[in-house]
Amino acid sequence: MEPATQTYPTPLFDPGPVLASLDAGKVVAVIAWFMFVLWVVYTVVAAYHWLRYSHRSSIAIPALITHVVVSLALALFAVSGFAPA
Amino acid sequence: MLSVRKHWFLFLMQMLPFLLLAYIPMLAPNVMESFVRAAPHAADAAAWFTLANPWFRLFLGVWWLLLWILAFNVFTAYFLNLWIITTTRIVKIRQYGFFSRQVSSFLLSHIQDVTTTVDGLFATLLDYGTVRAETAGEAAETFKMSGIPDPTGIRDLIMKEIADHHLADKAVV
Repeated sequence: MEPATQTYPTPLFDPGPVLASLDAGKVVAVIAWFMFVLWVVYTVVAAYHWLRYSHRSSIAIPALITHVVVSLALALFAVSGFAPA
Repeated sequence: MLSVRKHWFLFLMQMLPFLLLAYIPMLAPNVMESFVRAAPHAADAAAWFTLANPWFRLFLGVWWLLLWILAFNVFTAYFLNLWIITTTRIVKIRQYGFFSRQVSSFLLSHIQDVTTTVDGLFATLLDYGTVRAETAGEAAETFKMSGIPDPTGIRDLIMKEIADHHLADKAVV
């Protein structure tokens, strides 16, 4: 008598093998550059509007500093899992 | 001179979707855990949705960064949209988006009627609403300030400024 074998369906979502075949350094670099360019353009435009149209409000500079600090913290968090080669 | 922005509660309501969207990925590990209990063969996939996985961290970081940019955009619009009430006019500054701005003003001396509307539970409890100022004549114009704090106080201020303006005009005559 043959031993009973149990089969499982293929997992619907298992990105492990796909991601393992990617060069993590290159993927992270591409995403980081894309996000950086997007962020710089947005930040320059937002800073221009804040400084020009906020009527010399005392909130303008702290708001922009908060934006930069929070953005940097999130960007560092995003790449923190990848150790430098 | 008085500068008026929308009530802080309306700003918080605009921020709420961003907070929810930011929190949703944090539910993934718990959802996957209960999923694995029902389907043990999916354990490998479930392991992907943990902070220990650098790819999940990357996704989370990029997602939060995009949400942060959008939320900051909402804050910028909230801050740059305002009404300024002076002794002679009301100035409405509307920032529709980046590089799209409208500034309009309305002379207090032309105003005939000022109406306030406070509609809803939160508006009543937190005291915010709409102020409408209308000019006289056939070509009547309406100037609307919606979602502003203390609408009754703003209306009283506008009415006082109009009265002062008329008194000053009579004194000159």
